Amino acid sequence: MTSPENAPASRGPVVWYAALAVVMLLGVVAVVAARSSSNTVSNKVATAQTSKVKTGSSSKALPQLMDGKADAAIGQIIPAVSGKTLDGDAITIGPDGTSKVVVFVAHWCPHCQAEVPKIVGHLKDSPMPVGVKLLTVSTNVVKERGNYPPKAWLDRVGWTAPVMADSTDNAAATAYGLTSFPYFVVADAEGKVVTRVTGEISMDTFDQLVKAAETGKAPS
Amino acid sequence: MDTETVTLFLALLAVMAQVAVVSAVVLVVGGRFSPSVRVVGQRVVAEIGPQALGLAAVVALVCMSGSLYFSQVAHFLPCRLCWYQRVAMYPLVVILGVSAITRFHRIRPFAAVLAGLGACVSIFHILVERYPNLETSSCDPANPCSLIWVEKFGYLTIPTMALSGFALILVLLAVARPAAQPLAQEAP
Repeated sequence: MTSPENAPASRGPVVWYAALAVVMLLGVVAVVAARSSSNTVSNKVATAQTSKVKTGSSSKALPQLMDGKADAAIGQIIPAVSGKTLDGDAITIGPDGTSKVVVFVAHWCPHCQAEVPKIVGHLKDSPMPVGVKLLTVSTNVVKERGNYPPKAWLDRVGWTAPVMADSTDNAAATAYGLTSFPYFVVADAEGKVVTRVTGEISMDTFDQLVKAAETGKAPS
Repeated sequence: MDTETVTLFLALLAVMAQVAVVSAVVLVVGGRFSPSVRVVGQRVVAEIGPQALGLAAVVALVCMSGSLYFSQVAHFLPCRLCWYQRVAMYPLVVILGVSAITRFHRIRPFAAVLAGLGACVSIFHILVERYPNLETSSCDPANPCSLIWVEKFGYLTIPTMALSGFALILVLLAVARPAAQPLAQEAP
């Protein structure tokens, strides 16, 4: 232990100058690195990640799915929403005579980022049955929130179901009563809501949702 | 200066904070086994100790400025856990700043408790980012705590930067000590 008499005298300003020099050096590094990366990385997005969504004139919006309460949307006809896919093709999700599972996802949501690859893997072993459609809505698109653009993310994880691009004001999600992601709406062939689920689900639950769409009966 | 540049700058500062914290741990642990490392540690404490309160105040100020930049300029909405970390960090700017100016070293344990609580919240926030199911199984469209606004070098998120700041403040509080007083001359 150094005795007080032998302790080196503190060179106060030197410590501050050193700290300031390090901070300035890091500032220069940040400016140079950010400039060079912006020159090499293209942020160009080929197709629009949001699209105008039109709700059918006779459609009635579903009530919001509330935790711990009976789902008031059961038996109600799903609204018809029309817009464009992430590839730019026309798409309509609504009562069209086929049973369907509609999945709402947000590109920045970690639960969606976990759920989508699980479903992709599951569908390789257990494809959707004939007569039940799996449709997707990419909603709540916010570039600053990361994992953008949603098309790049969904392509990367191998998602092959059609994906509707929701509008900037999330019209499709609002029409379907979304309160959180990921969000599953199951409708039978008549377009009636059989069940709705929000949050990450197991693949057993996913199979039950598909079965519910097929039979028109909510899972017990 | 754009958000990307500022974020990278803050991330680099966080890395430097981590390097400083790891160096301090190495000096403390190494000093127990090696006399030469112990001497180095003593020299570092002697150099930095008298300035440590001021340096800790500057670290807190940089952390506060960074968080205000993210929310007010880059428009990254602070989540609930972000606010708890702010509650711990922002008062440190004033507490440590005033203490550094007035050389009030007795503030150290109180400031350390505040920084320690902030560090605990940061650790929980980092875990929520990596394991979102710790909090909920779904994403609130408004602003979930599991949302990763920025990620640099594959691991540096905003709460990781905050944890780096809290950890460095704790290290500086540990080494802070008044400047060695010149010995009083003996009376003739």
